Amino acid sequence: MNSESSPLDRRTFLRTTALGAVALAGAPRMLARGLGTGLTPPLPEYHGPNVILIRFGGGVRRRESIADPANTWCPYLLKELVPRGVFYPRMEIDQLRDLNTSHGEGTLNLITGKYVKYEDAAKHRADLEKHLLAARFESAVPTIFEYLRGAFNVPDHQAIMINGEDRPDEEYYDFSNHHLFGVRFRSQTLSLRKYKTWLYRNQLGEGKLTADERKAKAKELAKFEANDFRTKPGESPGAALESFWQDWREHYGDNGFVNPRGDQLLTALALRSLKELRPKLMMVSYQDCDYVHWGYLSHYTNGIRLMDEGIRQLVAAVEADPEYRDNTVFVIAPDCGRDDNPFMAVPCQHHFNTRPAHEIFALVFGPGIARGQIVDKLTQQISVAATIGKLMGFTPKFAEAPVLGEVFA
Amino acid sequence: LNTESSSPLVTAPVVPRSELAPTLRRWFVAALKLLVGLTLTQFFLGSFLVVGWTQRVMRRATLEAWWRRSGHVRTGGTFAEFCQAEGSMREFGQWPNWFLGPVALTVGWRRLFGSLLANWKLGLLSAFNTAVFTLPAGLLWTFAWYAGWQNSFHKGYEHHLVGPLTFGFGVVLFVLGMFYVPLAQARQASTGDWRAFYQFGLVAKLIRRSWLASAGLAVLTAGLMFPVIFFKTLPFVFGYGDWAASKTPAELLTASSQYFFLTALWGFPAYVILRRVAARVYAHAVLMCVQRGSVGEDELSDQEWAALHQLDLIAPRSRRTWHWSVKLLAWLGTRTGQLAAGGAIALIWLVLTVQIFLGEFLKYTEGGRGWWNQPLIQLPWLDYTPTHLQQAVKVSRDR
Repeated sequence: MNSESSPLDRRTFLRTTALGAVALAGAPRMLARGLGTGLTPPLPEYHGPNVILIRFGGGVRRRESIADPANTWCPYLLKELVPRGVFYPRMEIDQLRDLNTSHGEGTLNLITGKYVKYEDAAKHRADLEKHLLAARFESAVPTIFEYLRGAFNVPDHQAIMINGEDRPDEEYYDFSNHHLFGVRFRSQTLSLRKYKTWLYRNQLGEGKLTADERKAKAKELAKFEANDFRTKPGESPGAALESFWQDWREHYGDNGFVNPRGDQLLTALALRSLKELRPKLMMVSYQDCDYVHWGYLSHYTNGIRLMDEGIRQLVAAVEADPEYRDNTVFVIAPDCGRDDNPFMAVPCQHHFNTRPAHEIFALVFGPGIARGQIVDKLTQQISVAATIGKLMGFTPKFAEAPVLGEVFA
Repeated sequence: LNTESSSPLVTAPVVPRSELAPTLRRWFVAALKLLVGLTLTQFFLGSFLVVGWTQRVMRRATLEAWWRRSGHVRTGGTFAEFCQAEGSMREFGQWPNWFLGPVALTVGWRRLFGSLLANWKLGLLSAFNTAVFTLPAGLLWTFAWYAGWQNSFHKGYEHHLVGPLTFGFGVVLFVLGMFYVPLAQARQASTGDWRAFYQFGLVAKLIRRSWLASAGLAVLTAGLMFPVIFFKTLPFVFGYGDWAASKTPAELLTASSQYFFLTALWGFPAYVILRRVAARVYAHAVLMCVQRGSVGEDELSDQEWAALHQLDLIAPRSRRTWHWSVKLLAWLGTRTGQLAAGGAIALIWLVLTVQIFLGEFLKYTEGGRGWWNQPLIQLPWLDYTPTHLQQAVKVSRDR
């Protein structure tokens, strides 16, 4: 056969076929991404329950929290909230080899539903400076925030993560690297560092600083922006958060000494965001009890006490708000447990893969959830993601553990 | 049991068969003394006895160092024989006892508990004097550690410098104190008078005459301390394994106690060796100063004066020396040399501070003990078994 005589020669045929195949293969993906072609159906509005996920961290053992009501450091949680919901006292982080029991990993376990051995992003990104002990993790699978925003018309400022000031490495969990989700379905983080980033940009723009102040703020801002490697420098957090931070600034001023500190700051941010941002899904990542590491046991127990008080305030705020009162589910789970080293005066690390560091718990309570049920069986930390998905009406299809069925019984 | 012995702790002379029995006896006594020393380092109060006992060892080491420099050594006699011949020095012919008094006393409570009382008294006085110079630094470190964590927990931005500054001040105090303490301890031991510790002018003169030896002493201290801190820290590794998880509190307590007893096999001899070396440095510095006239005879204690006289060491010696080591010593006498040597010594003590910091960072000890007590400098108290382990055993027994 003489191919040159044909009106559709072989090369043209193959090229056309290949392009057609690529287009056909890519169409659903383009639809899923919602590329603004006008062909994407609008996402439905969200009418399900609001969910507040509380990371009871950083790193809490059962012993000081739930094991003994007479000696608990979180009496509100154990004595008042547990009877109001479904309690999983035997939740665990799986004893997988090389799985680190720490805060970043635990947080990602909770919001992705998948156990992964994470490494600092600098190991994969040539553009990132390597830092000692850095833990800038990037999830390859979507977070519950992305699933929610991918399934419903929920703006990013209503999918909120609240992060501590000493956890800059945990400010990168707003979105995963998954090709079907990622930054388009990102959540927003509220933290002191985010506020300072916003504040310094504004202050530099206002032109009221002295030369020295300007230099110092510009330097600090550059550091923050360099650390926030997943966001374009200068990128606005959006109108809602601009307004939120403006209100925060008007209330607490510029000096950073007036606002609450530590985990009390997280509670304050959560309470304010409930009023102003009206989140559908919010995660509060408490952390203060982690100061026990090489320090004093009282910081650990005080950290648990502060979280307990923070939860009390959050529950009270929800119950005082007509829109949230009967439409909000709380999910409480630690990011990890803590070691129990008999030869240490302060036996509370969490990096050494001991059993107590894997032993955590979970509590789910709110409207429609069974009350006073204690589920005495082994469950996995990564089940939290699937459970929140079912509560909110989306399917976290990359989550690897089943839902906590008793929540829906 | 009479534990008086003229043998050192571990020397093993080759002896004819006829002398085997006394040799075995000496070894037995030495082992017994070692065992008592190891045991006493496991207790807070026991460590005071070790300090006192070591003060007596230091005094003996000073006399022995002078004896080695005297003409007596060339006559072929032993140090023990020399001490035996000199009535006032008889007790220094052998290593001191832990409990029994001098053998000259045949009966009475002084015979039974003479050494125990002496060790206790000397231990208290020496520990107190050492604490005057070293405890403030240790307490500053303890407070700095506390303040640092408090600041981190409470986010006290306004006070963030309190911890680091306090720690830095503690480091300066520690380094300054350690310039003085080793030879002051030796001074106290040699004179038997706790007030001699505070003879600042004399001790400073001795330090200036022994820069090189002081630097060596600092290196030796830092070197011997490293294993002590390592042994203190190491159990945190054992506690994370399946082994620890499978044991009862009682088994863990036993294991911990046995472990720290074994670490005393390093810590106790290291403590004694350091003190003996310090005593020799002191002895040589005193001898040099006396023979060159920079320390007058009236500045010596009665016992020191008597010993030096009996050893015929008081007489002035010629300063004509040409050996390179002497030239180095001469240079160390210059202002530049003193500054260089002082800087080197400060650096060595700084290295020790880093060791202390790392050890305490990896394994914080109860009450900040790792900050305020360095076993080779202050109290040789070597058992770091956590109290909560003892409490767990008590609770399990009560049940």
